[in-house]
Parts: sequence; C-alpha cells; structure tokens
Amino acid sequence: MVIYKFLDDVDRCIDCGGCFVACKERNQVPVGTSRISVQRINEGKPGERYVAMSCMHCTHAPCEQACPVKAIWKREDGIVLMDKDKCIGCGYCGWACPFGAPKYPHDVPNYQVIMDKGTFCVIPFDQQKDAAGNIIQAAPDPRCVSFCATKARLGGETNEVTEIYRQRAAGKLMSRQVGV
Amino acid sequence: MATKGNLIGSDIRMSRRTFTKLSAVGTAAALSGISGVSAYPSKLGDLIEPASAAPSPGVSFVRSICANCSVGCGFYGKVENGVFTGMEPWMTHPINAGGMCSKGAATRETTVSERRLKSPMKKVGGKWVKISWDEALDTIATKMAEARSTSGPDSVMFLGSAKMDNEECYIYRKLAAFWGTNNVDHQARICHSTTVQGLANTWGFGAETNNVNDMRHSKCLFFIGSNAAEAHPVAMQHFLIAQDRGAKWIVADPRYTKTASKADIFARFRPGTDIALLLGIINVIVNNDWHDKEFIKNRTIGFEDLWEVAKDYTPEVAEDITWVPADTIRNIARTLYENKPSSVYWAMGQTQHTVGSNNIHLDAILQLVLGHAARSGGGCQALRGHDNVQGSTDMCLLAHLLPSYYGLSEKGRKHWCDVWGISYEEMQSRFESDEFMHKKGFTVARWYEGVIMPESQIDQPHNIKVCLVWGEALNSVTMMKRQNEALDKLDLLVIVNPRSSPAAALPTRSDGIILLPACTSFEKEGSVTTTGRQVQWRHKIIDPLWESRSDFVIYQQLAAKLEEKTGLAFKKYFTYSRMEDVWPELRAGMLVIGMRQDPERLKRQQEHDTSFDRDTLWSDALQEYWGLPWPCWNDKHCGTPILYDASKSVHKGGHDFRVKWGNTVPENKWGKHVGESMLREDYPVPQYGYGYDTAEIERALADNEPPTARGKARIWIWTFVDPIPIHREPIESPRPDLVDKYPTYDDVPFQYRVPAPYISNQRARRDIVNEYPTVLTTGRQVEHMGGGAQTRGTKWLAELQPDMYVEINPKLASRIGVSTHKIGITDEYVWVETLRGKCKVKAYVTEAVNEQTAFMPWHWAGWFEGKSYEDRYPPGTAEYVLGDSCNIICVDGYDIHTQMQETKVCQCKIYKA
Amino acid sequence: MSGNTSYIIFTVLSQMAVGALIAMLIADFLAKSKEDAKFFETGAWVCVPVVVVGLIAMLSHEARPFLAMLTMNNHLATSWLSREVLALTLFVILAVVYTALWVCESEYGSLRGIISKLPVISALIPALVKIFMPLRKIIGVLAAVLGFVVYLYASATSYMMYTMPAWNQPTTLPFFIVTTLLAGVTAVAAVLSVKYLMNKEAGKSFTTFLWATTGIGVAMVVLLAAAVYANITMLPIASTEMAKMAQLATLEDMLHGEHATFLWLRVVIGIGLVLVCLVGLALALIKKSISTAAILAIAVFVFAFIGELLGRTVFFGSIVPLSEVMPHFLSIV
Repeated sequence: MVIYKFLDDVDRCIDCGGCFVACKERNQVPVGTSRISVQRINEGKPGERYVAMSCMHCTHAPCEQACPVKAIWKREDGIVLMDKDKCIGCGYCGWACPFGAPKYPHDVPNYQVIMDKGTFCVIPFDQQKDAAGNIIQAAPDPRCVSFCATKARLGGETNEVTEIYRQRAAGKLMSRQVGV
Repeated sequence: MATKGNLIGSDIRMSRRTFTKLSAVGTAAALSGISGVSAYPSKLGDLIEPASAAPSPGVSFVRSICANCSVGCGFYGKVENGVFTGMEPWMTHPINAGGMCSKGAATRETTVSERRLKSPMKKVGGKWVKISWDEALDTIATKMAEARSTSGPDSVMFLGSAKMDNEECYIYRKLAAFWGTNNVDHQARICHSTTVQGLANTWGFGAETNNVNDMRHSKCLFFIGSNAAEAHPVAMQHFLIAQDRGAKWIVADPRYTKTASKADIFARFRPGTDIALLLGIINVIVNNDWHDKEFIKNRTIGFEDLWEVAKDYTPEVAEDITWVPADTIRNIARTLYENKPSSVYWAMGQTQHTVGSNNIHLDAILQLVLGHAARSGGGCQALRGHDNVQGSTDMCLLAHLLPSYYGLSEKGRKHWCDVWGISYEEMQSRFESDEFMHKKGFTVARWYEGVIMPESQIDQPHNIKVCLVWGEALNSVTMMKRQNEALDKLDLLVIVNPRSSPAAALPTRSDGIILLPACTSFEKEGSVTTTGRQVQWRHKIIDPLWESRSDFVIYQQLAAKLEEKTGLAFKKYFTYSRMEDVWPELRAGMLVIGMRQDPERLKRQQEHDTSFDRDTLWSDALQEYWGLPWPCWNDKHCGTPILYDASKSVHKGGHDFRVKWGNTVPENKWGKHVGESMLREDYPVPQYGYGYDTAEIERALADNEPPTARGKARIWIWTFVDPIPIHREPIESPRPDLVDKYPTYDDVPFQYRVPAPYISNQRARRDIVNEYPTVLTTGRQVEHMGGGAQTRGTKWLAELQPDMYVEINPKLASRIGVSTHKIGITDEYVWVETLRGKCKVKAYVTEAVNEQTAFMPWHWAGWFEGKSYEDRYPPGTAEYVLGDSCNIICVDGYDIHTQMQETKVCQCKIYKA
Repeated sequence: MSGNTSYIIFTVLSQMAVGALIAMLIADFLAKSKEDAKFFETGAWVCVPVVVVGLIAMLSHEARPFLAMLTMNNHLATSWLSREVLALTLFVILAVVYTALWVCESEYGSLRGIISKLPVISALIPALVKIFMPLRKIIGVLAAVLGFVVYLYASATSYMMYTMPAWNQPTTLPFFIVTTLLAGVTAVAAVLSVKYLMNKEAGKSFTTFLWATTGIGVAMVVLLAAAVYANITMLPIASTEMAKMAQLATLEDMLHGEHATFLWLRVVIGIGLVLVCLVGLALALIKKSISTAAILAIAVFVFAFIGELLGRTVFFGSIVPLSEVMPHFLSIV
C-alpha cells in the first residue's frame, strides 16, 4: 500500500523560502498565513540550521484524534485532510499538533478562525466541492518538494523517501570516513 | 507558443479583458506597506476567460528560464487561454532539477503583478500623466536630438541592464555605438567588472571557469565573499552534493552567513582584507612546500614575483590585518592542499572593493599555486548576479569595450563596423571626435558626476543632458545623494522598466521624466547566459501585458524615431523581425569568445533535456554539453564547460590558457620578464577574431589545438598597478596604523572621464574610526533581487521578507539601547550614519556579525534618510514594502582598474532613532 | 472575542459555575427551615448565568458557533474536547433543572410570583416542581458529581496533552479545582453576603454556610499555594528533552518574561489577600460579627476571582507549545 510522507534533510535546507512561495503559488494561500514556513535556529552561531515546518501527515495524527467535530480525516494513503465546512474553529487541532501545522489565518477575511493546514497539495486553500458535496482533491504532488532548491525536502511514497535519505546518509558517512 | 511573425505592431495584442479583471482584484485588495499586509483572495480559476470568449488554445506548458540570479533554473509556465496561470517544476532540467528559490517560485506572481507599470507615463507639473507610446518615443528622440546638436553625442548616457536577453543587450550596445558615444554601461560594472579584469588578465577569459554542476566534483569548496545560500540558492544543490560526497567547506566572510552554517571551517575576517588573508594562505602553502611545482613551471609565469610579496605575509601578519587567527589560516591552507581539487567561490564580497581586481587576481593565483586550476572540480567560480549578466557582459554593454570584449581601439572599431556593414569613417563621424571614439565613457558607478560636475572638471566637453535608465536599479549605485542631484538636473530622464522602479520616484523634479513600460522576460523570448557561460533559450510564456512592449521592440521603434529626428541612418541597422535574426551578427562578430551557438541547437537541447548527465552536463545523444558553454567554436562544437582544461580533446571541450598579450612578454614599466615566452608549445598561434574568417579556427581544431593557443597564465600581470596583489587598506579603515603601512592607490586625474581621488580621501579620513567606529558591509537577502523593485513589489516575497534592517551584534545593541531579549529582527529603529548621510532602519540583533561590524541588505528603496517618498511613485506602482537604501551611505571608493564601487566596507556609527 | 481572553473567561466561569452549584448544594443540606431556604435561594441565581456567560465567551471565539453547539461532541471516541463539551452540556442541563427547583419553588422561589400570573405555565410549572422537588438534592448531587468529577477531569485532560508540555503537568487539575471551589463557592457566599448586608437578616444557617465557605476557602488557598509552588519547581523536570525545553521556556516567561507581573500579582492577590481575608472572616465569625464577616466574604470572592483570572492569564499566555521547540530537535538528525 502506498503511504505518503515528508522528510526534511536539515543538512540541505538553506532557508531560501522556495517552499513557502511554491506552496502559496500552487494552493493560492493568501497573504497573512502559510502552510509551510522555514524555522531558523541557533541563528548566527555554529549549529545554525533551518527546518521547514508543515503538516507532516502523521501516522497517528493527533489533530485527527483531537478534532471534536470530525472535520479532520486521514486518507488511505496517509494524507491527513480537513473539511473547512465542518471546522468550527476551536483551534484544538493546532494545540494537538507537535509541528504547529494547523493555523488560524487570522489576517485573511472570511477565514480568520477556520483552521488551515498543509494537504500534500491535494486541496487548495479555498476548497471546492463537487455536485455530490465531496471536496475536489488533486493528485498528491507537493510543490514544496518538487520546487525545493537543494532537494532538502523529500516527499512521496514512504519507502522511496527513506531510501533516498538512507543513501544520502550512507554516502555522507562513507565519505567522512574516507576523508578522515 | 509559436513565435510571432512580426513582433512590431503586434506587441500589445493580449487578452486584455482577463487582465483587467485580474488587476481589479489586485487593486481592491492591494497590500499597503509593512503593517497593513491584507489579504488577496484570488481565485485564479474565476479569472480565466471562459472558453467562449476567444478561440481556446487550451492549456499549454512553456519551457522558460528563471529571471533572477545567474544559475539559470528552468521551469514550465502553465498557460490557459493566454493567461499565465501557474508554474510547474522542470524536474528534468539539468541544472536545477525542478528546484527554485523563493524569487523563482514567485515568477508568475511577479509577472502578472498589479504593481507593474502599465502604460507610458510622463511627469507634468508634479503629476504623473499617461501618454501614448508614440508621444513618449517622439519626446525622447526629440530631446536626444536636441542634446546632440547643442552638447554633442556624449551628452546622452545609456544605462542598460543585465536583465535583458543577449540579443537585446547587443542591440542596445550597438545603438549606443551608432549614436556615437561610449557613455554606455550597465550593472555588470558594479557587479563583476573586477572579476573580468582580474581573471581575463590572468588567463585569458573573464568568466567563471567551470559551472555549478561541475562543483559536484570538487573536494574542497572555498567561499570567500560569496553567500551562495542567499545569492545563488539553487547552485547550493550541487555544492551540497559535493559535501555529501565528502568535500570540505571553508567559508571566509565578515558575517556568519547561511552559507557559513554549512561550513567545516569558518573564518570571520575584516571587510576589505581579502588580499592579506589570501596571501597569508599562500604563504603557508609555499612555506610547507604544498604548491604544485610542475603546474607552476609548465603553465604559469611570475611565481617568484609572487613569493617576493607573499613571503612577508606570514599568518601572524595576516592575523593582525584580518582578525583571522593564524592557526585558522594554517588550517585553511592545509585543508585546501589536502583536498584536491579545491575551488574558489566569490561574488560581490570580493569584487566590490577598491582592490577588487587584485582580489580576483589573487583568487586565480591561489588556484594556480595549488595546481587546482583548469580542471574539473577546481578553478575559479565567479558567481554572477543577474540572470543574464554573463551575457550582457559578453555583449559588452560597457563603457570601455565593444561586444565580445573588443577594445575601443581602431582595430576593434573596424571589426564591428565590418560586422554592422557601416564604414569606419561614417561611424567616426557620429562621434564627438576621433579621440572620443576611443576614450572610455562614463560608467554606472559615477555617471552622475558627468551631470553635476562643472564641465571644466570632467574629461568630456559637455555635461550629460539626457539619461536613459534602461532596466538599471539606481538604488544599487552608491552616492545616492549626488545621484539624486544629477537626476534633478538632467534635461530628460527616461526610465524603461516593467516596474516604475525607485528611479522614477527618487528625483524631486516636477517635469522631464518619461517612463516606458517594458515587458518582463516571460513576455518575450530570447537567449540568456548562465554564470557558467551556458546559453539557454527562454521561450515566451505570454504576450506582453497591458501596454508593455519588449525591449527588442522598443529599441527598433526608438531607432526609427532617432533617424527621423537626427537625420542619421538608424533604421537599416536596426530592423529585426525575430530574436533569431540577431544571431548571424553575433556569430560573425563574436569569434573571440567563440559565441557561435545557434538558437535552433539551444532549443533542440531543451527537447532532449533528459539525455544530459547531471554531473558532467554531457549528452551522449546530442554529443554536446548543456547550454553549449562558450567558447563554442563552430556549428558542430560541443561547447567548453571547463575553461583551460588541457586534459580533454578540444573536440570534447578541451582548452588551454589563452594568450591575449602576444607570444612573448613585451617591454613593461617594471622591466621584468621581457622576452619570456607566453606559450608552452611551438604551435603557431591562430590569428582569428577580426573579420569573418573562421579558417584559422578550423585549422586549429583540425590539429586538435584550441584556437586560443596553449599559453601560460600570468601570476605577474605587467599591465596592472600592482602586478602582484598587495594589501591596501580600504578608503575608510578602522586601523589608522595600517592605513599608514598599507596605503591605498595614488589619486588618478581621470578615470572613466572623472577625477578619482584615492590616497587623498584615505588620508583625510585616517582617524575616522574615532567618530565612526563600526565597519559597515552590505549584501543580499535571498527573498529579494537587485534593486528590489520587482521582488518588493511581489506580494509573497514582500510578505516573506518585509524588512530593511541593519544586523548588529547583541553587545553593540545593548550598548546603543536596543533590546536584546530576542535574537532576530526587532521593531526598534536605529540610524546608521556615515560621512555621506544616514539611514533609518530596523535593528536586527544577531551574533552573525561581530561587535565591530554591521551589515545591511541593499535591495531597498522608497525611503530616503528616514523619509518615505512613496507619494512620488506613479499611483499604484510603489512596491508593497519600502525601506531606506544603504547606498545612500556607502563609501565613495572605486576599483583602480574598472571603477567598481566599494560597497562592502566603510565606517559608520549606529544609534537609536 | 478571540484568542486567550475567551479561553480565560470560559474556563474560569464554567468552573465557577460548578463551584456555585456545589455551594448551593451545601446550602440545600444546611437549610433547616423555610426561612433558611428563602435566604439561600438568591444564591441559586449564580450558577446558570455564570456558565451561560462562559459559554457565550467560548462560542464567540468559534468560527461557527451554532454548528459548534451541534457538533462539538461528535468525536467522543478520541477527542477529550468532545468529552469535555458533552460533560459540560449534561452539567448545564442538570444545573438548569436544579436551579429551577430553587427559583420556582412554590413557597420561597423568587419566580413563584411571576409564574402564578402567567397562563398555562402557572398550572404546569408548580405541578412539575411538585413532582421533582423530592429529587432536588439528588439532582444537585448528580450535577455536582458530573461537574466536579467528570467535567473538571475531562477539561483538565483536554489541556494535558504532550504537545503542550507546561500544561501536561499534575498541577493542571488542582488549578481547575481551586477555581471551582474557591471562586465558585465564594461567589455564592458573596451574593448571599450582599443580600445580608442589604436586609440585615438571615437564617441561622448563614453563619454555618460562611464557616463552610471559610473552611473550603482555606483548604483551597493552601492547595493553590502548593500547586503554584509545585508548578514552578516541576517545570524544569521533564521526561523528554523536547518537553523540557518547552517547559523551561514557559518557566522563563512566567518568572522573567511578559507574564512575570501576572504571576506575582496572582500570588499576592489570589493567595495572599484571599488568605488574609479568610482569616479575618474566621475571626469575625468567632466574634459573631456577621456584618464584618459578610463584607470579608465579598472581599474573599473579589480577590479570589481576580487571582484566578490572573492565574489563568499566566496559564494560557506563557505556554510554549512543543511545535515551537520542535525545529531544534528536527535539526539534530
């Protein structure tokens, strides 16, 4: 079975903001909120690193468990989605998320207190429904991954992602040993 | 999309209704300033014209090349019914593999931005008035003709742009030549002119020797004066792959940059002391016998002269000058030696200095001494700034060169007259005089002096009266106060830009400004050259929006008007229907650098993008390298991805150092090496480059010899003021004792037509540190590009980086009363003051800079010394976020050879606003 | 109303309502005579209005208040918030019934006059009251248990999640209990005291009630002091490095940052002044000076209420979620 996941290779991230903009472009996320943002830590010192924070589509998604109105659900392929029409804006999913992914778009008119979070580029910010009332979902093709300048952000089928990361880590380990 | 048969006349045909709708949304929800970032609920789906409105071409995907930095990333533009509706990653592009930084990813938003200039405008009585294209061009041509008849051809200044395609840069340079002036220049002057000077004089060509992909093969990456993570984000993809493969990273920089965060060794050095640091490293290398004697003997001249200088720069001496501990210098030298091949990376950090050319010369020397030059994974990586700045440099939109780096000499002039089909005499008659035909013109760095200095003090008979600011961001030029004086004094100021640009708003004058809306790079097609000399074809995504026109079209229309007003022949020299029509001239005239690619070959490469190997950029299917990096000797040649690489056959991109200075060392004022051979082989040097004759090139290729011959690199450059670089303190230095010991250059009576004081300024400011204790250096933010008019006027980038600031150390912050509770941007404003003026900016508290240094990004405009001039922009065109420009306060120092401005070091004081 | 303010008002008021109900239950058991009951009846007006204001505060912060009311307990299987809301809903229903049995009582209920004048209702309500009156204490006990045990537990648990390390502490429940019993019980005592001061007459059981209030108050102040101390001393201890980092950041904010002032004011007002007033109250009761005792009971409530609001401001304001420190740990791969 296909399960989708993200993985951040923090050794590669350079905080260029490409994911932030690519996400906005793809999902038409308005000014004032974002589905992914790069956090800078240990700024200005050795050990400075950058981490792109977004919805990581947890296997046991705490947001899904926390939501009191069942607005959040998990697809079979592991992508965690939410229905903005059901959301009552209690903000509890935001508290439950260890990555702080669900956010209030406080500065966006009409959406101030409707939660929004990353959807693996499946549902844009402004969700649309078909005649049957189902949310129109695109194929999972996360732009933060394909547009990542240094290929720091990996995303896709779990085994593929881990394999790429494993190879990189192994290569680094090998070369460091040879280097020593 | 298919190319239009004839662009002229058809350039404003567009799906206007759609974009009127799009613009209505934009205006309603316009962002205002930093605080009021409001929402923009755009549903693109609704904005696309219904299929019934026009014959639907459906959805198409157009290959295009990003128009920000020079890495040359590809992407697909998604076009629906003629509207640019989205971007798709070009995952098989050999350079970026789909990757884009924030600026690149915002391309669609930038292109269709509401804040663009939509029609020609004119300032009348302090108000901006919309005018027609015809009226605008007519006024410009009339004024130019007037200035010509009263003050001569040199009274017009042509400022160009590295944002234009190769073809357009070429036409603009040609236009200036046909106008009869050398007062033509563009941002390459203040970007990498010293790189060209330093490298070309060392080994023949002034460009990056390898390309970013090849850096995967490097074992040691030495960044000095480059913050690639912010300036060339996608190139980092390859640099980080090298690191994954075990390469060591050394970053030498005054700041702990984002690039430094990946480094194995970080050396924080005092701005402006690159030479002392590099000589210290060379001193350790030679003392330990780590230099490559074989390479030095066979392929260079002047090593002994280097040692004469370098022997005095022991690590301890260097430590005193540079702040870098002697042990770190030893460590760097050892790391460079142990990890072969190493390569050196730089950008503005090295070039923008009074000693810029020497800095670059020394980078090349370091590579020669180590023997890492001229090979894969080694060499000198000059990371260029704009998307086509390598191309615009090749087209020599410069005050001292003709296209393809021909000099202004009679020989060079005659060559181009031949290509252009005009007689030398007729060309001569268009100039002020024969003298002014060969005299270097005003540069971007100090053009304003030609306007405001008394005529008696400048090296041309009359002041500049008309200035064409064609895609140049004037807030990237230092001494903005004097520049503003000039903008106010001109008879006519013409600004051609997709945005109104700060240049329109800076002057306080109420009349005499004309704005022409140029279209962006994605509304036209053309070729662009990456930093690695690869030429890529950028296809047109959409037709020009609103009333904008492509530069290609505007030049031709302006040329026609000039013919009408001046009576000189222009039209027949400036009639092209397609971009491709320019190429026969380029291919004929630019033999020297082997600019002999062909648009059809470039387009074919993009069809076969998957066949290119990402490591080598070689395609087995096409038998050529990506982008046909010049020198590309003929229609079959594969391009030269790595300059001077003698290990390969010339037919597979092999090369060698170019003899540019004759076969032997001539008489020189130093009296050294005279008569020494510059060749390492007896092969007769091909004589080519003048006229159309390619037989010499073919002869060399047939013998598997590079047409540039096999020469020796010059460690000792007899044409330089300092044949071997020596440390010289910057004009404003925090060390009066070192100013005495390492003084700067003697004053120059005329440098590019203006007097250039050096030592007199430095002496007068010897003790400046007492009053202005902090060293100020400047640089880039990853979210913004150049003068920032485009990126600051793009809502997502404005949101991502809304602040102009000065980075200060927490210790300095607490001393001046800025809160240090949190590391990062604060809401407190400070004044940064120098001898030139002051800037009001936010304080950014960080340990990235030390206590003696402060850092400011330079993309900002819209404020002048703390006051906003947003009201002077044409309505609705000001950028979303504005800030004070650091170039108001940067120093008046210039490189001795190229007049590169010194933005990277001056003394300032910072206090709370 | 948005953000922390609505959380602060909602939690404090809903917990106070539980406390007020408990206070009325105590009064119910203490009332020996019709006069006693008539005096205490006024206190029954505290619980329901307070919880309604609290609910309005919470719902005003929701995007879709009416949808929220209908759907918030949709996910009882895993969501503690759903459970909390369900418990609160049931509590409110029982509290309304219990309150009605006080205020509609046929002999001393303050609504009996109005009811008798209205058609239909004048027949219906007294009949219903008559049927349910024997069950009043049972309903009260049920409501108290539901509120005090189930609702408080669900509420505390809904805040005690691992992503909010500084809330995920054993002190969270005690904080809520203190709000319930200290502010809630004294609220009723304060209302009754006001009534006493206005009329200068009360049943004998009023003194007993004030004694009970004093006892509960002192116990709660002691518990509060212990909880605040325990909270501050326990924050530096955590099971994971990540939680520790978040907890230390919270502590830093509580002790030296934006919320330091709130914390110290809370200690001074919510613990110190309350304790002083409680001691005074006890002394006044010993001296049988009921008027003084009544004034001090009002003071106890005012200080306790302010103290709880301050404490809750610190609770919600100083929290550093795990997501804020997460990047530090993701970067150490």
